[in-house]
Amino acid sequence: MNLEEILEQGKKEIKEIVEASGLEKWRVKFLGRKSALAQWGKQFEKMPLDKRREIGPLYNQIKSELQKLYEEKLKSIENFSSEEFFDYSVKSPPAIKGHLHPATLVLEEVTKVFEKMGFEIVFGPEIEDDYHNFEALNILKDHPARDRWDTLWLKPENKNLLLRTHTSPVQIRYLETHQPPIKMITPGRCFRHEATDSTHEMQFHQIEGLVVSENASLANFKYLIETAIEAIFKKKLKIRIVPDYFPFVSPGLEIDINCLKCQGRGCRLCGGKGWLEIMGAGMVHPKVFENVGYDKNKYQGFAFGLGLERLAMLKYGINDIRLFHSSDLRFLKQF
Amino acid sequence: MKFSYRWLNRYFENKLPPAQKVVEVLTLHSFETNLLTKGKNPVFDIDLLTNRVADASGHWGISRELSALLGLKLNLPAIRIKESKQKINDFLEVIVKDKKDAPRYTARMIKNIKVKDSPLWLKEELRACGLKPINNIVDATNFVMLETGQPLHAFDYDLLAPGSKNKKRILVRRAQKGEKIITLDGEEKILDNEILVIADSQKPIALAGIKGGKETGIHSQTKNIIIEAANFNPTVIRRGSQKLNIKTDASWRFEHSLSPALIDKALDRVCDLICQLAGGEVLAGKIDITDFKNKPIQIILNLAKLRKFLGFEISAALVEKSLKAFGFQLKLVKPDLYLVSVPLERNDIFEFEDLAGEIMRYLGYENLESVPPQEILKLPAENELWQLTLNIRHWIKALDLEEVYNYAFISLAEKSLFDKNWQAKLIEVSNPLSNEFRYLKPTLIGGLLKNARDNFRFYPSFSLFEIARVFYQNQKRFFEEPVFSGIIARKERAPYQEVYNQAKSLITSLLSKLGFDADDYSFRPTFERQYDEILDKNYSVSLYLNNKFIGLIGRPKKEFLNFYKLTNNQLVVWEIYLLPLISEWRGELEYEPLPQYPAVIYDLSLLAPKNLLVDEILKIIFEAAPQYLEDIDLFDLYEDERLGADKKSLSFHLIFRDKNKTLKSEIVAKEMEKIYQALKKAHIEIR
Repeated sequence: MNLEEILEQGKKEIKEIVEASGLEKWRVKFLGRKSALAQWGKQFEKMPLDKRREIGPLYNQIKSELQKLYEEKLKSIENFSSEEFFDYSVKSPPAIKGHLHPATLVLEEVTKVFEKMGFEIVFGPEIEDDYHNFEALNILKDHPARDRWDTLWLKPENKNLLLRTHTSPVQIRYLETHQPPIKMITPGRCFRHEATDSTHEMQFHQIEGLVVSENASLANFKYLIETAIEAIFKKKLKIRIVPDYFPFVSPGLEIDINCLKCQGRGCRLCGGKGWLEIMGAGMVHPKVFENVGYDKNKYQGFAFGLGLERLAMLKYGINDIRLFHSSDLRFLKQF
Repeated sequence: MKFSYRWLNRYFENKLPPAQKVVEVLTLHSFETNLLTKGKNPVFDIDLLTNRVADASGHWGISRELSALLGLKLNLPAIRIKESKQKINDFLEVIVKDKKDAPRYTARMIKNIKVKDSPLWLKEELRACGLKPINNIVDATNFVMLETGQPLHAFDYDLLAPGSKNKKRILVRRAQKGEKIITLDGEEKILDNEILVIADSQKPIALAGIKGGKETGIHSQTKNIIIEAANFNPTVIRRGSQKLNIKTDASWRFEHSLSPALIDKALDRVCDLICQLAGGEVLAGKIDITDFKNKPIQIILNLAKLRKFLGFEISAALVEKSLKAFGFQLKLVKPDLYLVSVPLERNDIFEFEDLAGEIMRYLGYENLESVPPQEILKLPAENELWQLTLNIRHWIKALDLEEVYNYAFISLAEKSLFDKNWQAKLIEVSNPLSNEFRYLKPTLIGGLLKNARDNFRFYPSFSLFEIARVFYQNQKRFFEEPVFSGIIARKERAPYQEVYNQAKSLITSLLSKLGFDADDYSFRPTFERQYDEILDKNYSVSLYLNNKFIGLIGRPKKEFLNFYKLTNNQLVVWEIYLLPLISEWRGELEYEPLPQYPAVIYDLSLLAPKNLLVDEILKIIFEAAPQYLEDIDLFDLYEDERLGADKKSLSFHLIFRDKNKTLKSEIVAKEMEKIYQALKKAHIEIR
């Protein structure tokens, strides 16, 4: 073998090597005292001076190239050495430390479900007039809900402006400006003149939905709500619909789900009833259609609404509604 | 409301099913019902719907429901009254001042009764429903109220003030200001014109629909009585009861608007019962002052429309069966078209839709079919504000911020933090829950400062954000605008430059994620919307997007920091208005082709006056060599005593590139020379 052939051979053989022991054999073979190169070295010393001058640089170059090959391989084998101690259990700090508010999480989840079903997301004003918040919704002048003490009114009083007590006025505003078929949901902040305790808040969020067309029926409502609840809770839940009353729908309905905790046997969460109320709903009242100038003999539809905080409380097992506005990081960092 | 199982059972020939079954049937078809007490006489708590108090707040009403739903025959007690020869009209006259206050007022008179204890069965039924037995007369009125839902009241006839011509007189009128009454429980109430009273010829003897007066109440020696069965205006009763702060079983019922038709049976029934319990003779005739006509409401029911409304096929026979079960009368006008008469006591059925609801109640919603809607495919309109807030929330959360929800109000004390201009813009709540919630928030900054202070108890360093609306008025018009605000809070005093840089980098990262280039926005030390009254001018800056003001980053003024007790901490806040941001938002990122020729990078270190803005240095450099200088990257900035007190050191990477060919180093050297010259001219030292 001449020098070039030795280098070629060395290159070829080192490629296959994956372990330190293999590399050591290679080192002995190509750089060791009994290697072909060493044999060359011995012959080289016996050569005449002019020959040595001719071959010397080549010999040195090949020797250093082999040396380099060896060192590089050694490094790459050491990098993958399994002798380095590795602790998979070491605590890793979170890379994303921020959190969204639990009400936001539920809001986005519910909204996503209805968006998938083709609902438009609509916002309305939080400062409302009494026409949109009450009158147009068939909540007439003498209705207890319009009492001064259930609603937060704004000064000056003669303007009849208030902080909306529910998201339903957005139905009216939307119907006033759109033509059927209508499929919308409207999430938003609402206010009541109500002393706060663990289950009551003066400030809370609702999501309200409205579907109006020539034939949006009660049976369609049942289908839609079953589908939506299954999607929101990510499992098939027993649902029951029972009569309820809201002035802007008829018939009025309450939608209950089988208690998430006891599956209907009765526990503290459901007050022993086995059911949890999660939604109010109903078919749009003909008075509402009249108020927005729709032909009540042509169009029909349904509306439904749910409380965001209540839903979040059920989903996450939160027991005090006041936590939502506490801005307490010990609470918020859990979501 | 409490209902007794045993009591309900009185009205059925065949007994009711077990109490648990009653609970189930009522809950699914009528009202949420719970079993309060089990055992021998179960008691139900029935949560009546507010529009059904009129017909269902008595045991008769609930048994009508059960009879319809369970198909059990109802057997209500027969009412027998033997009237005497004497006529009530010779003993009493009644004047109703305003029929709007009292749409119907009826009375009967019974003479020679004997007041005593009620029999055990009566006492037990009253107790089961939470009422205390008093005497046979009062108990009879209460019993019939719980039976029919119609409140009743008994007066001692002989204690009424004398009227004229040997007749006594009852007036239904508003109280005069300052009139007084002592109620049955002995409390004195001072009245005014908002309170409707029953009065004799001299003074109020009862708070109409709310509570009787002590003076004319039934006592052990009472012999002759007047029984009142009236219908009062719900609003008048509600206002009166609120004003006097008296809530009674009667006032609660009247508030929910009773049917004047309830009176007919209730008045005779109570007289019958009193005669059974206390003897006495009912005088002939009754007082009945009303414009009310016993004419049922009639509704047209079109079966085709009903099927479309319900969304499934329902037979005419089933429609008839279900409505008739609830006491509706149906007349077939032509095929598939009925004229339906509503039972008189029902005060909740006016429209076709209400009838559809009754049919569903009969069938039960568990039997409602679930049918996918057939609809036109339509792409819903995009809600840009929703999309923008979604984007902001998710990016900013990933940048280690915590989302908070605060109240939309500021307190009376917080108001004083604002200057005159801001105060003039505040919107005031006219009936706030307390002074804590007196005005609508004109900025979210105060709330975030409060959050910072509260959370310093447990965390030394954090960042918060909130997306909500702020409110203000301008020339008497009210405005609300969504804003995105936040705070970076450090309990220990860090250099302000550091927290400011952090906030600025958050905002600019967000803008870039929203698709804005650095060319689209700028920060300037000018103030709009009078934010210089909230933020410290020397440490705050406005953000402009395509030259439109969209918000600010800065340090709150001292007054705010003092108020929220944050003077020993380091904070930076921001407030960004979302609507102007949306109007500039393209929502799309733009691709720029990758460079074809390599860049040449030069490093440059400078010693500049401390108060010279980085922006200005960049401007000098860019203007000196506009042709090939692509970008400048500040990678080091420091101040040190050794540099001199008024100096700072800055190091930049200067990136040169020719878009059309590889840039030669001689050309770059020439460009650098121009830059050196320009810097020297501006008294900036090159190191």
